[in-house]
Amino acid sequence: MSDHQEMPFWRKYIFATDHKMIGLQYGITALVFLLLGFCMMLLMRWQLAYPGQPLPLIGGWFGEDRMPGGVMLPEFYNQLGAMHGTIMVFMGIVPLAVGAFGNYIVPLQIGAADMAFPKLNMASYWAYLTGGVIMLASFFLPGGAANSGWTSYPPLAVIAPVGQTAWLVGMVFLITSSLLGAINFIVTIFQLRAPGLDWMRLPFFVWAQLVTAFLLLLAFPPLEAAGVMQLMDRTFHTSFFMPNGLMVSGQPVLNTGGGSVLLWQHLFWFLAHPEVYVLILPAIGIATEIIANNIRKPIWGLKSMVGSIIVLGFLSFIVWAHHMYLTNMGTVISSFFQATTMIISIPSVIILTCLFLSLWGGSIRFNTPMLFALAFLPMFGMGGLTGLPLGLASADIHLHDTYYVIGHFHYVVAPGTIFALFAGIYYWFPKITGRKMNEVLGHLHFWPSLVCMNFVFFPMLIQGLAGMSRRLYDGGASYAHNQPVLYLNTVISTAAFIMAAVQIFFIVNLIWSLSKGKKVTSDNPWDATTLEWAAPTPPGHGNFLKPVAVYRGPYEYSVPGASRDFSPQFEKNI
Amino acid sequence: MSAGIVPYVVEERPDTGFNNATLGIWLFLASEVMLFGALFSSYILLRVGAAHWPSGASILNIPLATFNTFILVGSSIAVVFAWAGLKENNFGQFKKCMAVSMLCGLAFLVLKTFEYKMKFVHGLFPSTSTFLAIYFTMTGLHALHIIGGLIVNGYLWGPGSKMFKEDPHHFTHRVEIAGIYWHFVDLLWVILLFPVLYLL
Amino acid sequence: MSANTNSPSTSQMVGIYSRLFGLLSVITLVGIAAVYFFHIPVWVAMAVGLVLIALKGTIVVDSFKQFMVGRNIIVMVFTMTGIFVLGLLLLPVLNHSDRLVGTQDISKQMQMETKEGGGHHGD
Repeated sequence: MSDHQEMPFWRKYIFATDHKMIGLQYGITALVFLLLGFCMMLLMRWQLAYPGQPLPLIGGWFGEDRMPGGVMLPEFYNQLGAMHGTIMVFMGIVPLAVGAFGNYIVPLQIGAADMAFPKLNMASYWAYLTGGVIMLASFFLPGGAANSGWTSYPPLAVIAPVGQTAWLVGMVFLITSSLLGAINFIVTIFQLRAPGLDWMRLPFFVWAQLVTAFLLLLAFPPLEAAGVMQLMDRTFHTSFFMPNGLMVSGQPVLNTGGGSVLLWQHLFWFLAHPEVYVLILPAIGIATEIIANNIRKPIWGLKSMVGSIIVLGFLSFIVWAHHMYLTNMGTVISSFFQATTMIISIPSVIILTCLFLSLWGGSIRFNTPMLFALAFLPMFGMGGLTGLPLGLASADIHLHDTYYVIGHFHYVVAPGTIFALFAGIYYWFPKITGRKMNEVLGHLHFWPSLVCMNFVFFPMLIQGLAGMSRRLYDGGASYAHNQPVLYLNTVISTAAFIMAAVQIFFIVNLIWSLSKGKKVTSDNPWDATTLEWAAPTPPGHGNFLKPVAVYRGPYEYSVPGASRDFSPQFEKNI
Repeated sequence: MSAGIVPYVVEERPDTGFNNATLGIWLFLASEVMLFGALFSSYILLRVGAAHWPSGASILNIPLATFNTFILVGSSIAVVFAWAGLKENNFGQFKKCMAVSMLCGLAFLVLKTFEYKMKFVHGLFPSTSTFLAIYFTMTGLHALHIIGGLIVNGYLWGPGSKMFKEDPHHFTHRVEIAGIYWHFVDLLWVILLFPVLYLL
Repeated sequence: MSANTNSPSTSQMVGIYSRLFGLLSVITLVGIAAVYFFHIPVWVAMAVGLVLIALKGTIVVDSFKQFMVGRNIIVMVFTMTGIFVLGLLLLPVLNHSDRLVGTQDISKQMQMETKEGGGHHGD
């Protein structure tokens, strides 16, 4: 172990194998990608609120083939739309939630010295970075980036410009990264738990990461297969997904036909539905950790939450065709998926209810992480409730591919997951850096963000109910039925721009606190109970100064007869 | 670098009954089952929806593929004997049998290349029909997995085998893990790809 | 590997593997004979093929169970995987059967029409 001190810079920071360094690599990369995806959305929102108008100040930066005279071309709008989704989901949220938080925190929370396969961990990060760079570079290919939606449906995606091929190649790298990472997480959690840490003493965050890893492991391969097949269709002109007799601009396509467009949809959604649970589960885990810590009492119904999250993971594999209700599926199949989709809302509700009920009788501390974690609850609730009409096949006929869907899933991911991720950053920042982030800036970040999120996504629900379709370059202006709700485009865009401005408080806070934040005086500044707070601040190579053992459950707060209002898992005597 | 600080690399953890790499490789194989399962499902979907689907025998070279199948089976058996050699401290047996296994794997690829070439020469490309598309994709992906396995086995036979002197248990374990992966690639061919594509 | 006292010895392992691959080879030969030499009709070939595949799969699972003594995690993982593969295999079923009344899968029709009209690379 002494050779670690003499590791050269490139081994310690670039080709790192230490889970904490890799976690930080994932975190920084993901935050950069998230910012880029966010900026793409801002560009789109300008176009939607002020269609055909030149973008002030920076409109000239994008070149004549994307925004001539600062006015966005429809082709560029479509690229932004497809890449915003892809970047946020595959290069932003999942790497941050799983790659960053998972890699940094899970080994610490189970009392391990590192992940089970440190070199594999490094390979995962570099595969992710490679895929991400390929995705971003695709903007500069002739014809631009992928523009067939993040869902890349054939036949449109098969005849799309070369950026789509880059998307597919990038996805192969990203999927490989996730698969290797998933194996690492599962083996780590099974094998490297500290003595005394049996399954029901595991922090809920670790349970969430375990189920997430299983989802990634088993759900991604079909998309990899589909991606290979679409690459074959595009490069070798096979007809996996290309139907017979397809003509484009009066010319028959090079593919001979005989394929099935629906095959892609089935394979894509077979992954993409579990993928959305990958987006939410780590966030629920983070929210649980922070809520438990700041109510100073145990989580109510922890066993039910664990059971629910396992059932949720399993069920998430058999609901995928609720994204395909409008593909002329018969009534038997529609009913099956409708039933499983309704059933899957039950474990989510159980988890949310347990978290809400935990608040009752708690001594709540309203620090910044807790504010974000608390806001997560009703926002995720909104997202879940708005999903119910979409899960019902008959209602979905009206709502499919409208802004209602966009409002629904953004409620879950934006004021849902992203808020929980912010909460996690504020919460674990002291462990990583030895300093706390500024509370005033935290409030300035939180309150306006919460208000803006609702002003961005609630109107989308209204627009969707009015029938406004998604992926429309002009914001729906050319349809008569959209006219009464068109004004909401300006409301949404204004709220989005304000929200963008408010994130500056977060960025400033993050960077300023690195060197000027208030130093913490203990390894456990939040008076928490889980194992990561037993490690030094920041943890060194090998994490713990002496071997850890676990003596009790993860959220033993306000134990009767204890000397303090918290009884850490790792302390023998309370 | 971190070799010293991660436990259960070779010895088994009592409550799970596994060491890390064994659990890891089985999880990896589960994901591979999903990958080829998706391709198999696509095969069924495309075949059921096709107006005309040729039988494997009418287009593909069954005698060649049969021979190739037995070559692959042989390479798996050779890997077993290579591993057994290590367990019995017979490094020479490991070297010989692993070499045989890799040569068989290489022969499989050579014959496969020859097979592909014969198709192309006769104007049979992936784009010609959906049957050929799924045939080339499934066997091509399988061949990529063989190449991956050959690289790993080659490393263990060559530069990696130095570990046997310092840590025979760890090295034997590595060969065992590589063997499990190799058997999977072989079984994929014998049980799924060969019967489905060539015989049905 | 041998910390688990129930796991087989080296020579037992070699024996299990040899028997496994031997049986698989025999079954493969049976399959080839059926299809290549006896020219049975397609649907019979399908049935025979599926039976042989199932047989091979069962033998493999049985052989590996002898190595995986008491390893519940793997059993659970592969059971889950098996269930999800079965789910994946539902895709063709979902795609082709149980369509809305009045709609059909026109792909097959179109393929037959374009074949009659002639003009694609031979099949």
